[in-house]
Amino acid sequence: MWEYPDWNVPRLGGGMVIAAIATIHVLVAHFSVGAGFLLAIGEGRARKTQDAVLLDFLRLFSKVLLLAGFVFGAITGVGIWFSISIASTRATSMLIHTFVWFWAMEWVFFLVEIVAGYAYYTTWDKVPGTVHRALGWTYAAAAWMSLFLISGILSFMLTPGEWTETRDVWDAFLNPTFPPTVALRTVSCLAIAGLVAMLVANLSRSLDREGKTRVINFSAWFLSPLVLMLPFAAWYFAELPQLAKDLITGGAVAMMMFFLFGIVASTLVGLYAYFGLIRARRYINLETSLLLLSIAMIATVSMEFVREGVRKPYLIYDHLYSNGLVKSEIEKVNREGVLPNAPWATLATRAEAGGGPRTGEILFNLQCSQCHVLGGFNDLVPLIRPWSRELLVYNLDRIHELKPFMPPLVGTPEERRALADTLWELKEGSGDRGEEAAGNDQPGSGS
Amino acid sequence: MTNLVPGPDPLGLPAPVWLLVTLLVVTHALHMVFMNFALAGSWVLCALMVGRESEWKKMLYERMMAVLPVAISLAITFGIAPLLFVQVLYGQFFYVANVLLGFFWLAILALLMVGFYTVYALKARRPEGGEKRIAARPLRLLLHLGVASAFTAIAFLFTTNAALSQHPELWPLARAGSPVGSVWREAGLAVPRFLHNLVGSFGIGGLWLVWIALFRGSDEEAEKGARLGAMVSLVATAIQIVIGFWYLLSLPEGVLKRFLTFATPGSFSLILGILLAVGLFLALFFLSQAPSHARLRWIASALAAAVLLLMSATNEALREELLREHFTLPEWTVRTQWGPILVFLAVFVAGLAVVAWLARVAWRAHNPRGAEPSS
Ligand code: HEC
Repeated sequence: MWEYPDWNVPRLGGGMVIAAIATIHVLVAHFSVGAGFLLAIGEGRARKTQDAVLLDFLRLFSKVLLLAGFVFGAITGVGIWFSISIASTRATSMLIHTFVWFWAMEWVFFLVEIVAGYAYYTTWDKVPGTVHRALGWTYAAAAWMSLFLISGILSFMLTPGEWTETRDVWDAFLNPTFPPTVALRTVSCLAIAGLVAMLVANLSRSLDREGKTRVINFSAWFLSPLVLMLPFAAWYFAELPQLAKDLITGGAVAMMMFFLFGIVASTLVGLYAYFGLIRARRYINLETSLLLLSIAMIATVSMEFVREGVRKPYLIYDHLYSNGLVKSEIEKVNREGVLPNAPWATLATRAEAGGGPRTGEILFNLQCSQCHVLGGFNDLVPLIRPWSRELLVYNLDRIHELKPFMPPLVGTPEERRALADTLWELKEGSGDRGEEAAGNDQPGSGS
Repeated sequence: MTNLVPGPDPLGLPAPVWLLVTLLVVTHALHMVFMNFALAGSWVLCALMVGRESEWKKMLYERMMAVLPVAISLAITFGIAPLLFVQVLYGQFFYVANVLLGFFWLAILALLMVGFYTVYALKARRPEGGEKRIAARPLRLLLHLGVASAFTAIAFLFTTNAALSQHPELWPLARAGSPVGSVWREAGLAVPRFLHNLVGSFGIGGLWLVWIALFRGSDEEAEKGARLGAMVSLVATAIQIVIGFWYLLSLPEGVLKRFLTFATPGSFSLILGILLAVGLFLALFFLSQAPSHARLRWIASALAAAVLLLMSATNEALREELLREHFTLPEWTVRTQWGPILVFLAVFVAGLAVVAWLARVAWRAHNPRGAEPSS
């Protein structure tokens, strides 16, 4: 049921706005977690070997962490909340109502992370080395714990596991893809932090060539876990629902490419780090470090895309469809109709007194526009162009069988016919606005 | 009119209402503590930059700039918690307002980002020049004004969102036209509400100044800074009491009546809050006469904290009253998740202990001689 107003973003669609904010945030958040380990481990090593160069570098690096992680990372993190609440309202509400206490725990770790980070950054040379390292480890542990918690919630959306039956939050959190998600993300975090460290070392004005090489060879250790990407991804894959597996193995070519690209690119970077930077102690210049960082970032984003992409047709697997309908509501909506269950969509119709969107358009907006943008991304018109009218009507009732990553069409027979009419008109290219659907224009009767 | 108010989420509440409401009220008040300094403080920083330069202004400025980024970070962190609980308790209203505001709602993030980075830019020192800051004074003033305006705009948008989420009767209008305009069209609805938030933040922000100025003990310079803080807080509290009554009287008749007839627990928190606010006013008056008087400072701060908490509770009661005809909290189905609650409590207590340790380490590092904060 469509109890919430929808957020219209012309051309792009709300999903794209979420994706943009989420992508940026994921990268910065990964960096913030990995950077904690790099600082804590690096400081331990620098103090033990009395390596003043490395220590100076870490001080600089902690400033990068502060400026990127604490400002950009924190704000885009809130940004994800802000944007999903307006673009996927029902899913947000479900996640909140299921996981409040997990979010609350996450919040505690976030608080510790922030306080530890500021304490660490402001007390270089002001506290004994052991204490400063303890601050670094506190930050790293808290940051990783927030990764741990968020992983459970994100992976829940793809594999809710037993939760669909039991509605038990522990089943939801300890879901099948949770452990591999933690593993994959941990590896990515370390790699991104290592790569940013190489970049910062290259940009640093105070390091000479020898110092840079030393920092780069040290940072390379954080890339080497990337070789675990392949086994971890295989583990992740094994836990996916069948439909999602089918999508990756060929149902959707783009998904397969993203998935493979993510694994291959990561593994190659990991191998290069180990053989080139750790064993052969090579130096890499600014361009190469930028290039490596970009590859790792694209690989990370690809894997996130796959995670989002293979969830179709669901937002929360087996429960909430991409178009905001809960699976168990289908029968009710088929019986009562879409319009009575979509007060906000019909509000516009009534306000504009007849000139507003018609039934077919409303159906399209509510159920299809998440993935099909008219005249834009994944446009429907070319897809149905070869079809006869009969075939269109016949197929609309079976879109979820034609392409299993589409949710089933819901609505009364009249509403379905109105959608078919609208689509047919679009296909015929006649912008003519008939009144055939006006009969369905009655106001909804509440939620 | 069709009922546009969505039903409560069928998954229900994962905790008893009282627990969630308590957490909402307390974390909201904590958010205010930090947010108020970020907001009011950024205006005070502008004020410190105009007029004749002097030693005490410089000292106060430097110290405020040292505290500001941490305060902003904590304002964000403590803002997330009430954001979480309000979604749990009132998601069906909160989300609708978010969607209706759309890009205006997202603009908060952009403003925050710009404001925060500008603060860091203002803090940055020239690489070669040791103590010298980047940019000339007029430009710096302009940047400070930018920060203050950005934070004020954020306050404006949050007030708009709160008002929109608590007045479902505005929704069709918001949907049809400008969502911001729908709230601000009637002056009585949002203006006192916004002013109450804005002026109140100077009340709390002024007290921060007192503490910050006297951070390293009392001398003549510190006392001047503290006096400014006490005056800011005093004047703001006085104005705030007047605006508070305006706000109260601007409420819909039915709601006002319930507050005046003690039909809501909010009546009690409101009256106690007003009484303590008058006490706060007196304490601030004396403090402004003797800014380095430690006991007065503590009394004023304790009173301010109490007022903040009571007003946060009143704010919640007001929300319940405004939404009463649409929804009341007892309508929630409650499915308490005791296991996760216990784990959370354990994490929370451990987290607080760690934060206390961190704060102690940082404090000692910055006060190596064991200098006491109070005089
Ligand atoms: C979860 C996303 C999603 C939703 C929601 C969705 N679709 Fe699709 N649909 C797709 C994708 C992806 C394709 C494949 C496009 C391609 O093959 O190029 C597709 C293909 C189609 C096709 C072509 C099928 C074929 O066999 O060639 C039709 C027709 C179609 N969609 C109609 C609809 C209608 C009508 C709705 C709304 C009731 C809808 N879709 C909702 C994702 C979606």
